[in-house]
Amino acid sequence: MTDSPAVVLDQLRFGYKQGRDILDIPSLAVPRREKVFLFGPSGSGKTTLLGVIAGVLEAQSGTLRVMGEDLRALSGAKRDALRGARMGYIFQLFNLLPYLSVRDNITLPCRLHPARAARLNGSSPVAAAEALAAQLDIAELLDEPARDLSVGQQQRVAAARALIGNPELVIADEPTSALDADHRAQFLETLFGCCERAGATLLFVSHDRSLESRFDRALSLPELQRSAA
Amino acid sequence: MRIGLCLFALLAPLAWSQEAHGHKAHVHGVAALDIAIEGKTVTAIFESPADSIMGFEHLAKAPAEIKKRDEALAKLKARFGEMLLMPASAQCVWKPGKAEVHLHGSHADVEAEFTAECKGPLNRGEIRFAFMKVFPDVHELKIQLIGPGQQTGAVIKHDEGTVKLGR
Amino acid sequence: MKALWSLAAQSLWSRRLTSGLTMLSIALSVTLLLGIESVRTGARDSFSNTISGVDLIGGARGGSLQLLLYTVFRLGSATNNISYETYQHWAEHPAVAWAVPYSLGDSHRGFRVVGTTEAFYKHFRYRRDRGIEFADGRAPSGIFETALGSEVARALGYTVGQKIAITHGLAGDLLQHDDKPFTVTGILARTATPVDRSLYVTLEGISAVHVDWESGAPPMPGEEIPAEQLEREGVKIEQITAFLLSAKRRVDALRLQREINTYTGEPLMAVIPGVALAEMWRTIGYGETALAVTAFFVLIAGLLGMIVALYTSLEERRREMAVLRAIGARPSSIVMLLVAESALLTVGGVAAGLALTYAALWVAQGPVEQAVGLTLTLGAPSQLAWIYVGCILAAGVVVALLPAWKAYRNTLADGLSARL
Repeated sequence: MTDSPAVVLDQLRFGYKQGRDILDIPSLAVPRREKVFLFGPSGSGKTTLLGVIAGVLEAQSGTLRVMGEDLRALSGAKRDALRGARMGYIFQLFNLLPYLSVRDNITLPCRLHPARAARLNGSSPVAAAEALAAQLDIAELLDEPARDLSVGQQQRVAAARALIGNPELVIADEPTSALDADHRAQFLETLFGCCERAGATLLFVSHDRSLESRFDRALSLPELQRSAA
Repeated sequence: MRIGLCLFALLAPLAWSQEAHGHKAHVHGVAALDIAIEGKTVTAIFESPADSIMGFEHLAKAPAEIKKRDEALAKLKARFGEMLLMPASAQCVWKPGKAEVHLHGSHADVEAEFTAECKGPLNRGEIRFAFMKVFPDVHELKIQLIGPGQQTGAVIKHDEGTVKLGR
Repeated sequence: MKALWSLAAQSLWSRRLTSGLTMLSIALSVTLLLGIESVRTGARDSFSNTISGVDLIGGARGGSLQLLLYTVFRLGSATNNISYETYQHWAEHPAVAWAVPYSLGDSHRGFRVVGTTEAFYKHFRYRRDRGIEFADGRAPSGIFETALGSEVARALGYTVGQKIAITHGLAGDLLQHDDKPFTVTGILARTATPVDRSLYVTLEGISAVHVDWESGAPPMPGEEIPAEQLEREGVKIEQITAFLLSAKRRVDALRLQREINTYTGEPLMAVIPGVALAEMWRTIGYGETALAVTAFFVLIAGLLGMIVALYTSLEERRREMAVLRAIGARPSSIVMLLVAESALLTVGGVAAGLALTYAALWVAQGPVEQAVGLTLTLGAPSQLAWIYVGCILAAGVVVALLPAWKAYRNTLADGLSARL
């Protein structure tokens, strides 16, 4: 199973409304452990593609395999479970539940999905959260309420939550666009380090092409679309 | 004492509006039914304006009136057990009772008394009523019930409602 | 599942002011509903425990409830007395097992004075089969002797041997019979009924304080008949106010009632205490219903407040729902989260309401018992109370389905892309 590519798309079509495809991608394959940079202008369907890969949006036709699972053949509940157990997701902003502490935010995926907790190799969710917090330099914030954090701190907590339980695929939707240049570089370094340690594939979306050189591969979404061909 | 006075002030208007039971006004359609439970015996005393039972209140003289009166009283005696329905679990059997017409000046009342012997318990279940089925003019019953550790009263209109046995 | 409940609890805690106010409004309506129910059942039990074993209460013709209230609960007063001969006629009736006469109308420092006989101490029963007992001393036997209810002795600090004056009428201390003091011979044990709030003298004692009065006015100075002379010569009992009867058989009681009601000697009436009480509850029932309806609307308002609070919070929580979806929450989990939140609010509100009800009853217990001699028991909630609680909990969950459905729709529409 772990030898199957992280993501395989074939003739995939998706549209919110009938007959108006946002996505029409003839082919895309992301191997395991690859760090992929996906770019494109606003409105080109980057976030939509991530939603389809994460299993929240259902493609209308084509093939979509994520970590070897045929996503289109799975029920909504199974897709949710797959995402909860084996993926991590980071938003551009507002990743946290404001009423939970940093520690509770990081461990939340493990509380929601026992399968996620089972991937911790025997350590407790709290211990795993503390280890990740140390790597991401937010150990001193663990007891703080999430609503009191700066944006940079919030994004690091979001990364920790996405990475807990060693997910196979980490999806990040413009996670650095709210950060200044220094923090951006630092955040990227840490994210790379953690993904490498976890053996995770990283699918990173941004419109800021200055970051692209740090990735294994850069993909332009408009060029992936059939209309570009 | 102030709370007592308040309670009393609330109750006072009610107190003076009450009618003495047993010396009830003679109101057509309204009958009194008193029930006593002693051991396994149920005694029922029924009193109704004669009009509601037999259709008139003067002294029956004409043969037709006498016939009407006797038939009404016979019906009351024969079917009392169908009208005062003790709970089935009490297994009550009504014995033949007596029913008479009493003249009070311009009014007349039918007074009847019946007893039942019961095998089952008389401290649970509900008494139901079906007087209107037999005497359509008896639309209201003023009920008094006394039994072991129980005293209660009820007003049953159109045979709707029950009287619970036991505390 | 467990995660959702703790998440719901943490979410509510983060909005503790609105959560608290929502719970408070539910708690108040629960208190109102259960309070009415408790007072109702408490009052009923207490009232029916006040007198036992009495088949009939007889008195001058008037209102049946009035007769019950002034004889048993010492509330209000009689409009007329009846002659002692009439009482004797019924007391000696072959169907009568025992009779207790009451002569009412005088008072001592706000407490009522009851003229009665030995029969009272012997036959009076309350709380099914408890009789009158003396905490100290004995029953009055002489004309100028009195026994005190426990509350009278406690409130006025009287002890056996003390001399007291009886006041004519029930109002203030204007017309004192202080030329004829009474000696306290005994103090009754506590009964937690209106018995505790009266003084007891003999029928002769009541006659004696009125013997030289004319048309309700005290004797002119110098015209008083000395107490010693009365004790030596005795007094004639002219009238009493009411009497309690116990028949030999229950059916006799029903026949006696008819006989008394149609007695030609003077206008009389007899009521069965339980029947008069049932009549009173029927009448008061309308008021109770009105209160219960009010409580019901308070409850509706509380639940509406809860939906509104949940519903209006949904817009600002869209982002939260998207985050939950991103970490693998199913849309149905979002519904569960909201239902769990309102379930917790309702359970909290009901629990607080129960606590508040018992606290209020506990506080009211003493004053109510002292004022009207009614004991409000702090027993387990009645069956009806449990039904109320069950319905409120169910309603709390059901009304949450509306905002939960809205959240479900939002979640499906938003996916992972909810805006702020």
